[in-house]
Formats: sequence, C-alpha cells, structure tokens
Amino acid sequence: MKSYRDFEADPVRFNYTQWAGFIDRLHAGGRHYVPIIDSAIYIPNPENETDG
Amino acid sequence: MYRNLYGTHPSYLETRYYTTDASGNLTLVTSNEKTPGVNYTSLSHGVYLRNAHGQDVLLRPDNITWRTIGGSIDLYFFPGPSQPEVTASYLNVVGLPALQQFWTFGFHQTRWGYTNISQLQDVVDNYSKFKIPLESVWYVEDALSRQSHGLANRNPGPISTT
Repeated sequence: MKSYRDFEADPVRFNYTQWAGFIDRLHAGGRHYVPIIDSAIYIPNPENETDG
Repeated sequence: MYRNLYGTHPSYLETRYYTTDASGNLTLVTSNEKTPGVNYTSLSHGVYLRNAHGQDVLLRPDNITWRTIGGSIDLYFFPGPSQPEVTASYLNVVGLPALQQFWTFGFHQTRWGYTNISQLQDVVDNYSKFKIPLESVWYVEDALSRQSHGLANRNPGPISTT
C-alpha cells in the first residue's frame, strides 16, 4: 500500500513486475493467491491538485 | 451462489436407549451398563430454535434452557425416529451448506509484515524444499505495520528472552 491508497503498492519493495512474477510462479505450481485488502483512508492534500 | 455460506443453526440431537421385551414394549435405559442377552433399541429426536439473536443455551442434566435477547420463538421438533431422519429433517429447515472448492481444505499460508516480494517467494520456495504441501498464499501489503510503528504494528516479532 502506497500512501494509504488501497490499490497501489510500494513501487520499490513491492514492484509490480516482481509481484506478478511471484503470482505467476505460484499459479504455475497449482497454488492459489488470495489478496487481502485492508482498507485505508487517504486524505489528499487540498493544496495540491495533482495529489489523490 | 452466496446461499448459506455463513450461519449458525444451534440444534440438538438426542438418542435414548431402550430395552425391548417379547411384546415390543420399550423400557428406558438409565444405566451405562449393558446386560448380556437383552435386546436394545434406540430412538432419536432433534430440536432447533431458529433465532438469529444472541443466545445462551444451557445444557443441564435434566433440562435444556434457551435464552435469547430478541426475535421470535420459532421452535422446530424433529421426531426422527432415528438419527438419519432427524438430520434429514434438520437439513430441510436450514438448507444444505455451500460446497467449497477442494483446495480450500488444504494448507494456507499467511503472515503480516513481509518487507518485500522475494521474502514471500522464499517462504513459498521453502514449502517446496521441505516437501510441505501448500495450497494457497494469502497476502496483504500492509501499510499500517510500516507507517505507524508503535501504534498498529501487528507483527512485532518474537519477544526477546534474553
């Protein structure tokens, strides 16, 4: 989770390409992946219109 | 779909044992001892209180008491007379449970607080390495344990014993 955004991940520690590779290998082994979403509430900066 | 995935249907099934004589009369057995040469038979019944409110069920040697904090008294009696009939009657009331996929009965791995994907990959690889069957990985990339240390860290690690 990046900055409390529910559907974004930390791009460094949880790189999307690496993550997709992990899930592909898991599926290739006949295993299942269950994502858990812990909802967070992100408060965008009202002074910055590109935020949020 | 989505039918009967969750629910609690507290009920009881009671079986009483009897001796039978030559003319078919039943006498309730109150002893735990079995007498050789005596014919035994059993009768079963069930009771179910359909009530979605909080409740206590008090099982006592001579009685059973339901206490609920709301709802109506919707009480079912299942006369049996044997266990399969009681169970069938009960299922007619509460419905059959939803079928689960077979893999859901297998081994599931989950944990908070991995620092990156390769750490998670190592965990999965170790299951294979040690030939431990693993059906699924549940994972959340949790922000709270990382950004609010001391407030909501759900994976504090082992307590030091030194």
